[in-house]
Amino acid sequence: MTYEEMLAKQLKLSVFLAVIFLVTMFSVPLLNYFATEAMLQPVLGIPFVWLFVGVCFHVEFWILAVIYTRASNRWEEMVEDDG
Amino acid sequence: MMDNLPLIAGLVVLIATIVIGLWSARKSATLSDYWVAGRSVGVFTNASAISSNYLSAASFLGVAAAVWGSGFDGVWYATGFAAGYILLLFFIASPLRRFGKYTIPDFCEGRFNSRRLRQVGITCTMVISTLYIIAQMVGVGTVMEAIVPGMPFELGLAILGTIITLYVTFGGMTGVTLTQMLQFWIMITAILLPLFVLLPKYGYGEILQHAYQQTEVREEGPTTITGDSAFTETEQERFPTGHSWIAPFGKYNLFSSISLLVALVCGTAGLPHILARFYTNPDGAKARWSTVWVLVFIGIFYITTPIWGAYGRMVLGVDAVMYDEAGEPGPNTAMFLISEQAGQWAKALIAAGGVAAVLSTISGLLIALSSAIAHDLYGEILKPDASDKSKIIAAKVAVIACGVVAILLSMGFRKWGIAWMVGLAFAVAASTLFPLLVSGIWWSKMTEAGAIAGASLGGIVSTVIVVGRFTDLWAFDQPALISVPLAFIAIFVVSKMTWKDQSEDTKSFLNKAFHALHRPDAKAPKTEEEQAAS
Repeated sequence: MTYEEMLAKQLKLSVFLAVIFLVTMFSVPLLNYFATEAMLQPVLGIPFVWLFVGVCFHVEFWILAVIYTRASNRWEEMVEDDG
Repeated sequence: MMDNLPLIAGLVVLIATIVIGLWSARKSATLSDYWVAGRSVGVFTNASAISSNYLSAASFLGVAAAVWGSGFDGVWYATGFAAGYILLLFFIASPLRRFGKYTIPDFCEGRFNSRRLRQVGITCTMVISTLYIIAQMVGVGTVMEAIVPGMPFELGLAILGTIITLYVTFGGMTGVTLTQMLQFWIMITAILLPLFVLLPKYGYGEILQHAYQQTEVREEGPTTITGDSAFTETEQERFPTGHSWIAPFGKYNLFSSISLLVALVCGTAGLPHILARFYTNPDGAKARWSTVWVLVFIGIFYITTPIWGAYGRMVLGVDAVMYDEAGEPGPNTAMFLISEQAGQWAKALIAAGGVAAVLSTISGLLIALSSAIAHDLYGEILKPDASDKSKIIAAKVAVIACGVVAILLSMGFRKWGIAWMVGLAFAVAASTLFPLLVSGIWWSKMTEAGAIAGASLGGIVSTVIVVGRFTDLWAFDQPALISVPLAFIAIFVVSKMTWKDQSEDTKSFLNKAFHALHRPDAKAPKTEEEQAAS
């Protein structure tokens, strides 16, 4: 893989994962606004929005972070030329 | 004896910190040791230190209090504070480390070959870190008030503030790294252990249900610890009860909720004292893994804080919280009151965690502030030909000066409340350094003029909005949703307009600096220390 290819792949992955992160993060206030009661329905005995924002978001962050880091570091090791 | 446990626990943390800080002074022999711990900090150690640096008194004591007082809207703080590390990981951490500098102003000048941008970087670092350190120093005084019976705020602040300043002066970043690692594990133990005792009787859902019902039966409204009414009628509307406590928008409307999230997410990724820690990793790949572990460490922490807040509301009701002068639930009391339910040992743990939280964040802020003065202003602008020995002396003088000024400012600012200062620090960081760093790292055609325009516009707009709210000119107090996009737009438009006027030499420099940020570690240009070593 060339340096330029690696850079393009890293940026593409960063933007892709950032979009997933931003969409899930900022859709919650909108869902809270337009579907308040649905967001308060209990899941495992806990209002859904408390569970989602207080717990599930963190798990999402961990998954996104590991995906990005493993891929980025692997691509950097695969760079063959000096650009 | 049992009544003194919190004081003893706080003292143990303090003594351990002083010993480690002074012991590590022997290891701070060079400039690289002093500012970036010799760039030799491993993933686990740096992740612990970054987490500790970030988990201030506001997080350790304040987020649970925010959930207690504001319900679901307080939970956004627990998630938003962690979320910023995602953008930091995707767009900033590794390239910033790879650039091989010491400070954010170093990045500003090195990326654009611009002395003026170094000055912009210094200004941003000073403003953000000063606002932040004042709030943390106020936290020092209130923590001392809480764990030392009869201790006046000013005396507690002066004693603990002086101790922090001294161990940072001698230990530099090397000492701060080791002490922050220790402090993080004290904090995480302190926040988790009492929950294992408090929680078995109830599930999270049951706690929320009880907390929600508890607030419904309180009609007299919250009081201060002396029994006086905490709020005027208007102020009471700011603190939700019943359904509005458990439901969203009890405190913030839709626009303010989104704007708060933008400030927390982008502001975290623009805090100079956090960013500086990424320079301490040996390479970019390890900087990435450090960020992943930070997300895990602080994620575990922030998952528990809403449980603490809801538990406090369930067991003690609204009335038990002591509110501060600004009408916010007093972060110094909430966690102590809740932990007392498990016993004095739990209160002692929270005291130890509270002391660790203020020590760790202030030490990181002192490094950021003093590096802007001693390294960027003195070492790079005023006296670039000074010897390393002179620069280290300047560094130590700067730490002491910053510590003394921060202590004095905090004594004067306490009566104004600290929440708006932390809010302003996040808003300015989100609107200045965050857009500058992300655009500078990922857009090769960004120009000096674009960077200055973006940082200036973002800084001015965010400051005007927050100060206007503080002086009651308007009610809106969450500027990030306006100021952050404006900063990015200004960077884009001005860079586009000025790119064609750049000389070929300038374009070549900007292109070279851009690739120095991204070239894999093995192929990256050597840092100044590596060049000196070879």
